[in-house]
Amino acid sequence: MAYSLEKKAELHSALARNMERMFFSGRYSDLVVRCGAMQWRVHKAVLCPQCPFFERACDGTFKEAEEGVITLQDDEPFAVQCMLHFLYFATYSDDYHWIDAGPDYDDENVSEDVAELSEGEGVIEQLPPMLINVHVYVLADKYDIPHLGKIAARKFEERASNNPFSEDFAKAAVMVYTAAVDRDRELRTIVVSVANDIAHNFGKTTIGEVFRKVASTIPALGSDLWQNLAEFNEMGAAEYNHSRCPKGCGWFLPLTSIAEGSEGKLVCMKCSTASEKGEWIATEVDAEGLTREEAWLEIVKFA
Amino acid sequence: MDFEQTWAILASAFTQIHEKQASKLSFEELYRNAYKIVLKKKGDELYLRVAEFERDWLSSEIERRIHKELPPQLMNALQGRSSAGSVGDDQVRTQGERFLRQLKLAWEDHQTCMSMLTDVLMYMDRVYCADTRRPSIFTTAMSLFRDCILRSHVRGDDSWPDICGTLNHVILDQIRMERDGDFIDKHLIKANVYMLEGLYDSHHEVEEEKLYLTSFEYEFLASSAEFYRALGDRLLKESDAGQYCRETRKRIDEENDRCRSTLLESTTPKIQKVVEDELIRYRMKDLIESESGVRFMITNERHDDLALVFDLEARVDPRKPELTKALQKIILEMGTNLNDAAQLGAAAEAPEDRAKAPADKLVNQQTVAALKWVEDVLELKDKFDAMWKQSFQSDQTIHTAIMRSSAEFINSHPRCAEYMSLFIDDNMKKGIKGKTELEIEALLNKAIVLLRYVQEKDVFELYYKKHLGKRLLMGRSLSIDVEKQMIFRMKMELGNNFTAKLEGMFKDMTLSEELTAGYKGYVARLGDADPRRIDLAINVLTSMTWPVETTNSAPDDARESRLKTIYPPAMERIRQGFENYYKEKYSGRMLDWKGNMGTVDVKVTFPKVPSKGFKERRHELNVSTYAMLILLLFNDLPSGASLSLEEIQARTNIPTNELVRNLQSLAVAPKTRILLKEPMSKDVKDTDKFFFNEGFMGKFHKVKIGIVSAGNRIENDRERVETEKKNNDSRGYAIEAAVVRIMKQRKELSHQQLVTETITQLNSQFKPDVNMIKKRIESLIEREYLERIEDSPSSSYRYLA
Repeated sequence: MAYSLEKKAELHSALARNMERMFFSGRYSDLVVRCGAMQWRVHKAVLCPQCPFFERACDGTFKEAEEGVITLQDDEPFAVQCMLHFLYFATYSDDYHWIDAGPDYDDENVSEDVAELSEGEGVIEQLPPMLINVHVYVLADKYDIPHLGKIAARKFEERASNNPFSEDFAKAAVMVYTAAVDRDRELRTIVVSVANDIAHNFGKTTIGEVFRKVASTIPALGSDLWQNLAEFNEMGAAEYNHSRCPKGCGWFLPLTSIAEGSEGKLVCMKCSTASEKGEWIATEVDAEGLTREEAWLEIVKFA
Repeated sequence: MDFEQTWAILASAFTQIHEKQASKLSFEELYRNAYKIVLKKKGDELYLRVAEFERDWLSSEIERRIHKELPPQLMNALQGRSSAGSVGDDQVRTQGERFLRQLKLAWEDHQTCMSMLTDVLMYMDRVYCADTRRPSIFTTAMSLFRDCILRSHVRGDDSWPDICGTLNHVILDQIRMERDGDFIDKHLIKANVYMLEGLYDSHHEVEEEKLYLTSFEYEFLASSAEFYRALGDRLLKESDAGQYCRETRKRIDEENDRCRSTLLESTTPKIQKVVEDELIRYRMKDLIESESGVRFMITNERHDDLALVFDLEARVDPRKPELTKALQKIILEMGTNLNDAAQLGAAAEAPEDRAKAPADKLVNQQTVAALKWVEDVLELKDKFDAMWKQSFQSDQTIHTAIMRSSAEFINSHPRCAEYMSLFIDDNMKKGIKGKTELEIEALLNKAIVLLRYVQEKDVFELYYKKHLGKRLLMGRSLSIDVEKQMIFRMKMELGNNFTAKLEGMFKDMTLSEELTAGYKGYVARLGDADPRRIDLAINVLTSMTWPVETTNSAPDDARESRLKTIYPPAMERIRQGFENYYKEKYSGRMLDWKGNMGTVDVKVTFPKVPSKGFKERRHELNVSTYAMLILLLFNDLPSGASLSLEEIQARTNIPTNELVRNLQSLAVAPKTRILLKEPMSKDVKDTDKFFFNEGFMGKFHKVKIGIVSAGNRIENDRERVETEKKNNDSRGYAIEAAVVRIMKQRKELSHQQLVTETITQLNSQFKPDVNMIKKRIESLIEREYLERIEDSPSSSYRYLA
């Protein structure tokens, strides 16, 4: 069956419309997914082939298979919705649009209308989109939907780099380093690289302060940051390795990217004062003498 | 999160799963808890706890259930420690089935539960096991089943086999029952086989270490070999070979079915080999040589049984060595019997009759025996050909074997070439009379097929030439067309060289017809319209083409051959006339007249014989040229006068042996007694006197007076020696020619190589004798065609240009 590109696009959009109707109307649903105060009427035929968790839950001999209801207890409801959305549409939106479609769902409302917050459950804390993406990322790992994880990471990166000085980013960083995902370092890499980009402003902004605190409380984050910087140094400003801040604050590595930004001066990350390159005091410790852990201890001391 | 607390939730759920009460459990809850444990880096502990849980469950609950199904009777029976036959086969069987059922149940439960656990622990498998390269929990649980159940000993007693061994025993026992004709629960066994197939000998999951292979299959094959060894013994003793074959086939099919329905298909080739080894490979020789074996089948035309034997041996060896050997032996024996019979038939009455019966009669008898031999050989060949097609699937190896042994016995008959030629001769003269074209075609084919076997093709050619020559000259062939077809076939089969001379003979015949007609016209043009002119039909034969017998009248001694036959003037005139005509046409050619080969129609008037009341009678006598010469002598003789043999010879110069033979047919043969002999006896002596028989009485106007033994018949011993000598001479030339040809090309060659190449070159004509080759080489050296290479390590020759 060789279709032209136009024909293919046409077919795909027709398919997509069908999926949309199924998802939003909940018709022919044979499975209910509940999370928090929310519930969605979904279709096994859509969920199970894409997600082993749903497949086993529906195929097995457990309670869920019999009752046709799966309750996801620990998960973030909006993230769950994003996940379901992904299973139907291969993507999701991290903005809040609650969908709690009832049986009387009307086709007319599909296009612009967004579902409303479920009534009765009171206020659901609305998470910022950046964090939602982290939650979705966690769900993708938990329920083994690798492609969803990729999309979540991409959305997170977009949100983070658009808004690196937000408090959300700091929170997200904390969550990335404390919550589930420790394995493929995908989110951590994003956090570190975004943090690195804004690091020269840490000293001047409140968020910098927040972030510094965060970094100092989570050893893994600090360690990653350090390593990232060290690598950068090796490439760009090897001569400043192992120099100590001339202000005597104890910081001993210059942040090279900062150096070019402030009229040829190097900004100390700790005390945020700028010093001429030549003022930085070369340390006695060399690469062999100073382990990463020792260097890290130096960093956390001031926090 | 507290690990112990979370684990407790899981553990209690697992218990419920094993007790088949899972429907109240929430999959999500269990998944979530396992997920959390792994998330908290407690995957290792979780993994170990699950394994421990399974180990406990298996070795307490399940092991107990299975051991319960192994009562002592069963164990004893399986061990052959049966106590005084108290346990019947039926009981053992029932108990065995219960054990199988229980084990099957345990295995299936274990798999079901473990797949549920695997579902719950999916995150652990995916994250923890993948990161730490641990086998999946399912795999580990399967190994646990092996270790805790299959490797556990009954009642903890090491002297008993473990469950796995017991399982083997039970299955093998059931299979034994089925082989003995019982029905068994195949599905039950298959389920257990699947279990063995699903488990491995160690934690390395490699194909070769499946328990089915390492534990069961080996024993199965060993016990099967034992079973079939015994069966083979029994069958050989108790049933005939046909039955044996049928039984073997049935068994092989059964084993195939068993692998499909009860065991695994991967075992099929292995058990097949066992059955084939035990029932075929190691038995084929005994089977074929048994009383009801191949010889019996051949004698009694048991084509189906032969096909079975073939089929069986073909399974184990595409060369079918035993069958081939047996066939060759049998063909050779049957052939040798034919050879002996032919010699016996030829010599049957010879000793006592030699004195009385004329040598000719003996010779005729031998001719009949020769023809019979060929017929018999053909019949034998047909028989085996039919067998080959019907029973042996036209197999190439068998064909070669039949060919080879046929050739062997045919060539072991010293006179096979002569017999074959005689056979064709007989058919050309009599056999093809009234036969359809198709039948003739078949006959020619047969002749060619036989010819293919004859090794000494040159000898055959010699005889064929001789026989053909006589047929042509005496007009005895029924159809020149068929003769030519025959030659054509030989040409196809043996090549141009072989038939060139034979074709030359036909050419001579055609030319001679033209000459005769041409001469007639020539005479007519001369205007000599003598009404008493003698009609002349002539055959001019090229001396090298025709057999020597025809061109040389087998002289008794050299002196006689130089004497020229004296023709009466009337004849001499014609002779001269033709010779002139011929020389005009082909100048420089010598004509040599062969009185012994020609025939003449003579009109004879027998006078009144009043004493017997005979009127004057005219007869037209067809006699040989020599006989005519003799008769003409009596033309000028007064009535009642006689001529002695010596006188006749002096006046005609006919060679003695020819003269004797002609006089015999004129004066001794009772129906054609144109002359009377005194004294009247069968033998002709020099001093015998001959008279014209005026009182000859013939029933027909035309009388044919045959020459004794003029037809083609088997050679007598003297002729044979001669033929052999001639043959050896021509072989000598052929060898010399071949040697020179080879040396001219190679220049230098070792003795061994030269001999080998010579044999190769001449093989299509005959099988050269190595001594003869040696002698010929010597002779060539003497004549300086070759020389020895002096200081060569092995004796070698050099070609001298």
